[in-house]
Amino acid sequence: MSENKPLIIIVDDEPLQRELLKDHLSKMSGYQILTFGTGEECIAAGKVRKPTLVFLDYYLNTQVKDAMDGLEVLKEMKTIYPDVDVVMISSQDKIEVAVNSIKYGAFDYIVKGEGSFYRAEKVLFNVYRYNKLKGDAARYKSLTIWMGSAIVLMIIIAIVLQQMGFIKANPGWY
Amino acid sequence: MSEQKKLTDLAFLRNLTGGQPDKMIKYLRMFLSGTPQSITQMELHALSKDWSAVKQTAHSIKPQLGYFGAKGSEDLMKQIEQYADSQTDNDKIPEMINNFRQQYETISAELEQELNILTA
Repeated sequence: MSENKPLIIIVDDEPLQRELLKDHLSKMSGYQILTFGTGEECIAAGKVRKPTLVFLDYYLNTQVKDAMDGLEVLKEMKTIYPDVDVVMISSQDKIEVAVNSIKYGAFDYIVKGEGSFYRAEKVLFNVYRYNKLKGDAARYKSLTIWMGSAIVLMIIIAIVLQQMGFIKANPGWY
Repeated sequence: MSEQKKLTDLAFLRNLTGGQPDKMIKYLRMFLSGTPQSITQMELHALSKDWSAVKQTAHSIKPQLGYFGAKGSEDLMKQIEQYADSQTDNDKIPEMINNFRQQYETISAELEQELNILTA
């Protein structure tokens, strides 16, 4: 059943951090949330099912030195799914961390701390709204194309019928 | 005798969890089981003068202290992280880690007490 829900993946090598964010976002119904301690696990899960949103720790190699760091995971996820939204999370409030995240395609960047959970909630809402707008824009675009095509088709039919003498040049004038 | 000022404050967690005891218990247990290992790790890294590893461990402990309202210790951890990063005052780091270990004794005692109240 939960497989039909949009998927959120949380990746952090700190179990407490993962659990706090998962519990907080779980309050918002309608999402399936998976948590992982490494980027490698996240990529493996992402290959099985496309996530809607990924919350990704910037420093993922504090426990295991050879583990992929957040930026590597971000690049890999963007290679697999260019349109997946990834939010980087870090305790570092250095500007270069934020710049690097955005440079490699992150949707947003959150600094860990008491306010980060409410910020993550807000980002989730923004992603939802952004995706909805994208969907609406695509629908309006296809509707415009269909309507335009229908009008052109009607004009062509009218010209053909006129040429064949089925309708007069100025119908209703006389 | 005046009561000694507590190092921790669970106001943030209470607010985040809506005061749900099961969640509070879960978070307290996770913090109390994970942090001693991280401190030992940091001490070992300092002993082997692996300042980059000290920085990373301090970096990961820092926000968790904030969630439990241990602001003083969070600041100390931030300082350790900065010193380890700058590679200038590295000789001060072992003493700072030692100070943190002492603070953690009090922090863990306070949190154990909260845990006992919640599980009673």
